[in-house]
Amino acid sequence: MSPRFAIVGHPNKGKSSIVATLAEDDSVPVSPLPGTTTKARDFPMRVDGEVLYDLVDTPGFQRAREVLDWLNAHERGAEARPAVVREFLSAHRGDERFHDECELLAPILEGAGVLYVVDGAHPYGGEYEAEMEVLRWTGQPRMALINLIGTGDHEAQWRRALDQYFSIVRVFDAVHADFEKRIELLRAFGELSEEWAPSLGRAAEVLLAERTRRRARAANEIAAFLFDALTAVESRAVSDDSPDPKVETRLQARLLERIRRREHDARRVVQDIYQHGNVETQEAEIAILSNDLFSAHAFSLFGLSRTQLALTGATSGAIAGGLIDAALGFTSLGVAAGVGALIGGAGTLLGAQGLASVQVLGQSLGGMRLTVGPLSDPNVPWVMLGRALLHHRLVAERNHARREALVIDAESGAHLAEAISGQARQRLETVFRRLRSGEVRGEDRARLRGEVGALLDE
Amino acid sequence: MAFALVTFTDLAFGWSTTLNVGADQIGSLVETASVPWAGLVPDAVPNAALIERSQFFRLEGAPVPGAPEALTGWWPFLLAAIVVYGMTPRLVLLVVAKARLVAATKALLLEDPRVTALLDRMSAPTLALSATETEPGRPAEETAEIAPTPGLSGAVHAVVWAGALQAADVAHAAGARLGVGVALTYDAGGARTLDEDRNTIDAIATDNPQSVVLFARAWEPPLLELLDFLKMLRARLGAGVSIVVVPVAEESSRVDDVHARTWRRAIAQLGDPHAYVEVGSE
Repeated sequence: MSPRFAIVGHPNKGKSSIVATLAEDDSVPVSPLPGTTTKARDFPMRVDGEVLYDLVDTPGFQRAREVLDWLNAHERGAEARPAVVREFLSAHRGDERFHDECELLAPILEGAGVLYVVDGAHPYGGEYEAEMEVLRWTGQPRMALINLIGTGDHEAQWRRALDQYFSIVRVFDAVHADFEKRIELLRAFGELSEEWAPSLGRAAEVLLAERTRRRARAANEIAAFLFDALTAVESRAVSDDSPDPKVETRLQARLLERIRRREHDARRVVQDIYQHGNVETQEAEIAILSNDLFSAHAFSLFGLSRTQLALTGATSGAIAGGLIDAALGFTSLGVAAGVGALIGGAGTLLGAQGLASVQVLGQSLGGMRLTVGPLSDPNVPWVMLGRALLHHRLVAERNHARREALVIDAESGAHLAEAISGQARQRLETVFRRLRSGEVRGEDRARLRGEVGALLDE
Repeated sequence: MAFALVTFTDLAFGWSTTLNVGADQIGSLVETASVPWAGLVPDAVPNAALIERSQFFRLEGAPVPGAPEALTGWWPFLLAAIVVYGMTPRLVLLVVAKARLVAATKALLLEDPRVTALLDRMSAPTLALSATETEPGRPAEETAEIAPTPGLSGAVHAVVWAGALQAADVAHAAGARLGVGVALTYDAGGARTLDEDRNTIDAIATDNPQSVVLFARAWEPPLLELLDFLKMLRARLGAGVSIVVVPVAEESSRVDDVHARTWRRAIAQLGDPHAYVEVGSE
């Protein structure tokens, strides 16, 4: 049977926060008002369908002293104590008075270990003894977790009391625990019982591997976003006269909107990767001015400029002419090649204008186009990168027990980008420059992904 | 089209040039050009005689080309030239372009970040951590209100629940929060047994107090066993006596709003018209 742990404790002491943190579930209701958990709920960790361990969130004790009184009244000796608890459970199954106690004792009697959660920020009180004693009666492996909900520190006092009843006592700040601490806690669960250790060790490994994979996925998305944002252009066919500034403004606005939306989408993807799809973020929009964009008003046919068209025509004309020269034993003194080039080039140019005005399905084949973008300011890619790195860091490290909105401060992003130095900076700048100039090469995507991945791993 | 032209019209061809080039040089040019099909269709290679005869000049008095039927002899050559030098390269180009397009698209597909992400998700083990059942819907919070604490007079009986206050601080707290003195102080809850609590209730009831004040730790949520105690106390005291619950924060600081709300909600659950919660108004 896979390891199972019942998380027990006074209501309102952070039990549900621990569950939310370990299960990466930000839908677990974490309310300060007691009575939020009314039913035992399972949180199994499943890998490819196999359950590695199971956490059970339980309601807390409400009438511990009464339970203990009943148990003491039926005392038959230490080795019979678990059986007596079982009798209590069967005797009070439907009893409303002990609804919460039955909910929490059932999984323990089915073989679950006990994780007892207390708040170390407030002083210890005698009222906890009854419930700790009831838990001891069950005979199951037990560990105590000292949570830290406020600013006080009564850890030492708590430890002295908890050491009497629990074999392992650890401090665990459920809301601020980072990934390493969570893994450490899982391994500690394994210390409770020998037969549980292998499963929990494997669980820890799976989570470590998952974190590496998540980083790679996030790097993939951030690199894709940078690529799209830095190569984005908006273009429109315009009349042959000088470009209308209103059209240019509109294209700029459209391009900036597209880039902003792409950034939003990338944020969402990264959040989903880390199971934070529900979190609300507050981030200022990226500031890009219209000066930061290239703008070009040029002739284009089949994506070729006038010069390019003429060159293709001239080249083929020259080749054809050259063949004739060769066959004549060059008695024509290379005239044929020259004439061919002239005819080819001129013909293409003259033909291009006419061809451009041909309309297919309402669109001209070519003609004058106004193209806005890509981003020309060399600082903007670094700003975008900094923002993305910061967002990733905050999301990746965010604990699922936190419920407040995620606020992203623009300044910190800039620091992250500035911290990139040396070879990595040069390599990134090369890629950025190529994307900016439009000479994109096939491996640029992969290179960008590699660089971002290395940055995320730091 | 070419076939129709050749069959139904007479096409005559001649050649002329400004350059000082003789028929034999034209002949070698034509032979070079005909190399691709010389072996297959020898008829499509014009011979020297045809070449000589079909040269023409524009000036008056120039040698006139030969018999008309000889002039049509050029057509196989021209047709072959069009097929070999015109059509064939274009066909080859078309095939090559198509093949390259397919290859490039395939490579591009594997580079697309969404495709790589998909492949990665497919090969990774599925990891699921969250609950299997959804949290059942929570019932709406009861909106039972507690009446404001009435003014108390005289001295009250104080109950310290689970060590909320040191004995020495009880009088001060009662004075500060409620403006009353304390006649007697009892302890209840905490590590005390249920029997001891029942005895305490009996002792209080015997005294016939006008009001009872219960001090409890503000940060500890009121459990059902505390509410049990209050119900028992009410049962023994009768309906008229005020029971005021005073949550006490650590080191006499202000009671947190959340804790205050929790206590009010819990005491309201009693449905006891003379039970009150006093958190202080600082």
